[in-house]
Amino acid sequence: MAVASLVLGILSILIALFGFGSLWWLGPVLGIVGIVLGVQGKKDYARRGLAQAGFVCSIIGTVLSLLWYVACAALLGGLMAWAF
Amino acid sequence: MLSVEDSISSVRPARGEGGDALGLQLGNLVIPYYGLCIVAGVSAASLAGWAQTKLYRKSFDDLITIAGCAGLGGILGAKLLYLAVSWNHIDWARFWTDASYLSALMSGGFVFYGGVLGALCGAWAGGKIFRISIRDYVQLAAPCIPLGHAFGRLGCSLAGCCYGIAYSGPGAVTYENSPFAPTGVSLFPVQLTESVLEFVLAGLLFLYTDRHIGRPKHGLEIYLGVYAAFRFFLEFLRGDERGEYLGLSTSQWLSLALLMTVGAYAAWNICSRRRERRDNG
Repeated sequence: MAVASLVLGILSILIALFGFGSLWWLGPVLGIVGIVLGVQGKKDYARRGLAQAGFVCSIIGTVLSLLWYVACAALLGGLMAWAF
Repeated sequence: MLSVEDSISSVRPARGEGGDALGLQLGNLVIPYYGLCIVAGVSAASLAGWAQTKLYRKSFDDLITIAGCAGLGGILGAKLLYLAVSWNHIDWARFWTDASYLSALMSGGFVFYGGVLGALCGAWAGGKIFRISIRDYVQLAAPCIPLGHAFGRLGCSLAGCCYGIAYSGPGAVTYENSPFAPTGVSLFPVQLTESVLEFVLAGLLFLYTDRHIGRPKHGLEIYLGVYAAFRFFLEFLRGDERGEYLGLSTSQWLSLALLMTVGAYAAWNICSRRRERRDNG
């Protein structure tokens, strides 16, 4: 869980910073999963440090991903429906 | 007519392209006000959740786990309900073959009430998976939901989305540079009104404790019932496209369904308590 949390945290930071074309919506999802796994990973004392790092990276990734939202998503949906 | 990708890219953040009216400009980077408000809301809700766990001697780690699962369920629920509502407008052939089309669909379009239902299912699933008793945590976290949402509505107000009907009385707002609200039209500040109501609701829920057990007992039910009631009326003051069926918007129908569910649960609760009292003599 600790390793998975760290990997997901780093991925969410990279996606938040660089977007990777069509993947930017994955940033908050990966970040939140990383946070949950990081918290659970801290229960394993042998990998507590790794889990803590994953937890912190996932929080940073989630926050950075959320920062890029421009408006209420429901409205984005409205715009999309209009575009069809 | 815009393509789906164009419509989304027109409201996505500008990175390194100079400033616009939607956000703070730091060098050649624009940070949207809406995103800042969302981060402020999540931070405030997390801080409040931490304070609640300290006050009622619960594990903050367990609260984060439940909140994370609820967040994932919320995203999934809001997206699924959006896809269900927009079913006829979606080009399903492109959905599976065109990555940019899929991304545009996944990036935009969430329905709040789908998020509420999904969050409840996510919290329940998280409790089962990680063996956490969610009953107390859901009640402790209830005030954090309107607190975070209140900041989100402030973001809507700054961005100009979810705008109100034309109105020229006290407190009216006029947007000049918003890509969402009509330019130069005096509007009812419905986003600010909802934000203030949510702050008040959050404050009242923080103060609420059941006098018999010394901690919140029905915080979530109170939140859902009160929110559904004022959302129903605020929908009449919304000026953006809401969708309509039999004279009411989709959100109003969902508000009525939620009110009836909460009402039925409260009635069942009262009846079972009376029966219990009668049985105990």
